[in-house]
Amino acid sequence: MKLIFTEYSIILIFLVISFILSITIFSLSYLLIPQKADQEKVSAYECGFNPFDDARATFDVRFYLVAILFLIFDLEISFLFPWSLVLGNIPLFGFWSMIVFLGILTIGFVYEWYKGALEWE
Amino acid sequence: MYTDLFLYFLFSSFALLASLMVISLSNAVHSVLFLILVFCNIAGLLLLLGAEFLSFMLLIVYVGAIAVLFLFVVMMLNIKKTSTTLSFFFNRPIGIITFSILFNQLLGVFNDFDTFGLKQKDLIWISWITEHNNLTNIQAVGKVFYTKYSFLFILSGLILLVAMLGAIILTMHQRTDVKKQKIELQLNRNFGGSVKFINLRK
Repeated sequence: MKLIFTEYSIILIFLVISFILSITIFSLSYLLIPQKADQEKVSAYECGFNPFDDARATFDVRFYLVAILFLIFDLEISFLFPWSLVLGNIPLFGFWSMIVFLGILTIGFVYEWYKGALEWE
Repeated sequence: MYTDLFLYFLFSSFALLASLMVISLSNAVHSVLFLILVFCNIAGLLLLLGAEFLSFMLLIVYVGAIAVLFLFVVMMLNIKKTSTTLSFFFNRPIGIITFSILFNQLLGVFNDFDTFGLKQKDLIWISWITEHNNLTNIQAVGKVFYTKYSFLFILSGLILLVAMLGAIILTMHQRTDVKKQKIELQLNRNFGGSVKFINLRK
């Protein structure tokens, strides 16, 4: 038994209630309405004309680029977080190792900036 | 008062079921969504082990970013219904080898992780020494991460740099036929060069 369980029990209660609530809403909306599906109802809705093809269209690859750049700087922030907590207790070497880490990522950031990777035409 | 044991079984069984769904569903988008469910359950398991920082990092990084990347990849590949073409006899030995390696790892975990509650019967104990010396999870990670394991830390920075450069090089294609708005060019344009008076024929 750890003390953090008592702190996280509120989150657990929240999770259980949201789980029950979402199941209830979904099952009620599934059970209470009349289910008479036909061709027009289940096909994808496009305004004004018949749907051309599948709704799962392929993406542009640039969304992927934005997502992976987000992921890298997300990881950088998550490395910064424990560093900021223990900065007073670790030797100066820990400070400079983080500076080197940030410098390495800044090289990539400068490259990305001059390459125009975030510009959307 | 076996709440944590109950939660352990809940999370682990959900993780097992969801990971079975990941490999057995034919729709790739659905299997990625079940992968997200696996990540959420594993985050709950890590929270039960007391590693709260790791658990929330798992939620932020894997669910927030990597699963979205997987979804992008799946949607970019334009997969319709696919059928497996690998033969049965090709798949089976690889599966057995991988499973035996993973199962061997799992046996090592069971030795020090008290799954069935055999060691503690009814006692609920709090080790006040470890709670009271006031070192949270994140501080325990941070104390060694930037000094003792600083080499691995900087190496991870280099890996992130390689990932960033690779993504930019692989996916950048600037179209040249689009007209962009260049603000500094617009602002530098002066009156004298752009307007001129011409005499029309009378």
